Amino acid sequence: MYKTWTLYKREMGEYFNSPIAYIVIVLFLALAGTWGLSKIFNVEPARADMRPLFELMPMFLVVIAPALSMRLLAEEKSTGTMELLVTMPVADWQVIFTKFFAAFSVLFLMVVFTLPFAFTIAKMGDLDWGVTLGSYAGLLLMGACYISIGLMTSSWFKSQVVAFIVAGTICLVFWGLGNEEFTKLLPQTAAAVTQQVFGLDYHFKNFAKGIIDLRDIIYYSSITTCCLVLAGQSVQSRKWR
Amino acid sequence: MANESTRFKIGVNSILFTVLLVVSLALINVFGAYARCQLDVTEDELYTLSSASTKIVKESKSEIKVRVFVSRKLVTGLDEVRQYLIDTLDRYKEASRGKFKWELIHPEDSKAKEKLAKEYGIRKTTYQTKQTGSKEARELYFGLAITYKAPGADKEEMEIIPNLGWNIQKNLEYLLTERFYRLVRGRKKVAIITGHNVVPPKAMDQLIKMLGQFFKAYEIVQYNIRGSKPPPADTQVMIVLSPKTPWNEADRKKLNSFVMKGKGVLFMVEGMALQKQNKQMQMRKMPPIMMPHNHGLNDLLWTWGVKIAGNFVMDLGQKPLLIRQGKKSRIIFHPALLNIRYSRRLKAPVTPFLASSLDVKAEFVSKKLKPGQRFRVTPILLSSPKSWTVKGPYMFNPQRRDQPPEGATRARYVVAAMVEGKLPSAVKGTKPTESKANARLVVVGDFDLLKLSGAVPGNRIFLQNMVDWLAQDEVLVKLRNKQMQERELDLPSSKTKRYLIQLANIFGLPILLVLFGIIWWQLRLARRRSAQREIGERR
Repeated sequence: MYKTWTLYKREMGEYFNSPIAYIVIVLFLALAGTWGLSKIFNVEPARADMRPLFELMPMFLVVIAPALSMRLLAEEKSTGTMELLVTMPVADWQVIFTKFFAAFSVLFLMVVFTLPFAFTIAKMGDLDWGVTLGSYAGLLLMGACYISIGLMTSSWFKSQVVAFIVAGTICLVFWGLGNEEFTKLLPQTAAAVTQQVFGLDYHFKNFAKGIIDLRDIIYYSSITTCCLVLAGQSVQSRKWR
Repeated sequence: MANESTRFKIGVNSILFTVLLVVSLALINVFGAYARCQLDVTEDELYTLSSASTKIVKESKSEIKVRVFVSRKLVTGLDEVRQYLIDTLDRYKEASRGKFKWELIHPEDSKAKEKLAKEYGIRKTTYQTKQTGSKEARELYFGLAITYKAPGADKEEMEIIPNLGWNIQKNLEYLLTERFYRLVRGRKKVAIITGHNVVPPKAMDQLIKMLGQFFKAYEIVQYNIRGSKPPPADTQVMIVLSPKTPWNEADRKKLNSFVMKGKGVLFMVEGMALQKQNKQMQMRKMPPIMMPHNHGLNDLLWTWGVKIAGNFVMDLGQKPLLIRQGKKSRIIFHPALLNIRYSRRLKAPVTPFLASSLDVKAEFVSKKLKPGQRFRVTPILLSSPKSWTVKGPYMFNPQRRDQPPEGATRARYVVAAMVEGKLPSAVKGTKPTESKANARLVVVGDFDLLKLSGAVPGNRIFLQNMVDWLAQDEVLVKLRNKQMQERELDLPSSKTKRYLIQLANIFGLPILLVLFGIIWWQLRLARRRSAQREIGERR
């Protein structure tokens, strides 16, 4: 446990001792605040509802989560510290999970920092906290998926940029397949199946309404587990390739 | 060679493990899709059946049957609405213990099914997708028929919703449960008391027509209190509207005996009334004068802890009111128009106009019945602390924005109150001396609230909630509130203030974060420098 904690601290230090975390968080807050709040404040009649913000945040995560996770393993590979890391007395899965939780912690902080928006709205109206917290839960689960996808692609490449582009593309495809705008070209049944199987955004809809559905939790957990295992296998592949 | 084989084994193991994991995760998702385990975290439990819905389907004496007529091919997005409908009907079925059944019918499948849809009056309607940029439209069936045959009844009663529309996710439960109530329980009678020239007969007919549309679960009748007949025996609620002539002893006696039966009465009576203008005043186009008005109800009401004052409340602490008339809407503001944002007890944004304040006997005011207390009075509508009262004679000019006169008492005034409990008889020497069961009264110092209810949705909801509460159907109040609560944002009227709030939210935390980053960076630099210095000194 101590080793994992040390690794976790090291990863968090990587984020907060460099400008990465600050840039990403500030960018996210400024974008979400500018677009989301203007959609809440500048409409008539204005509603005490965070939904406009939660419609935008998953879109931002498509870019921000890969940006947070692109360096996790790719940097270790390119600087040659990967060998050092895997020869340390920690299991590969511990390395993967620690890196995942570090990136997820930054994402968690980033999402939590949008809570003042909710407090402002609650001060000026009767905000449904159940729906709001449900949406936050959904957003974090979705964010975990995107981070795990980023970690998986980061394990495939030495270049952070390539890892970012590939992860961003995968996230965008997963997000798009859950969106009706993109699946409307498909036949109705095919569109419905595609949305349910691949649509990360589709499974967020229930959370945004205030329904926590076991099916959605299973879906997000499956995608996250799957990507983390693939990342682990990719790291482990040095033993047999 | 041994190394090669070990590597091969590890490789195969890794690939097999990955494949097995992916397959098992896929299977968990497939089987998980059948398990409906949901947690509704909305404050009003919008996606859980309310007690009103569960109660009516569970306690129904015969089977409630719902036939949903829906086309197989829908426009994009509507399948989600259909799924919501199916899920909701399943919830009713689960709650009913076999007394609720429903079936899905695709009318296009056969001529017999199409004929059945026609028999119920369900026809194809054009639906257009809500997707932005798409013009996909289709004629399709999307309606339902509810049938119920009461035990011993000759024929089936039915309720039809020919076109469910896109917005059922907002009010489906209310749409269905209210109809189930009508079918299963029958319509309760609500009598509007006439006989005191409340409004001209034609206007009264229109009022009853309007109320009939608001209260579909009730039968609205007129009852002339000055006549010799007693009120219909099955009347549950009486509505007393501002009388032009004062009530006499005989009228009060009739109403008192109705209350003593433990039933409900809604008083919408003003303490001030517009005086008739003489010709000279009309010629000069003078604004109407308001004078305290003797309605003859205060003796009766004071026994039950409430009295209507001979004044009306002016309030500068309210927001302007948006009135919608058809497609047009306009914003109006006048201190006599009390745009009360929220009634805590009967959740609704209410707008009384020229409303009188109520005097309430403090000894009866409580949230819950105190030990030994027979009834309680609960204020339900209050003006803002920036209110004052105006007594007659008062020249009412809607164009003038009145200001409180010097020395006026600025306070929150009670405009409506509810009374509940074993009420004492208000007529001396009559029996019983106390109501048999818990009687319910609502006293509102305003009649315009009802007249405005066509244009102000909040008033309509408030009115419906009052009548439901009086008819002891508060489960419907809960259900209606659940569906219709609009969570408005009370933004500051000044644009600058609004922008400042927005800017503080957008940049406040990022600036703090950047400052934290700079401090952290400087601390690290200082630490590094001191470490370097230490190393240098050691060397």
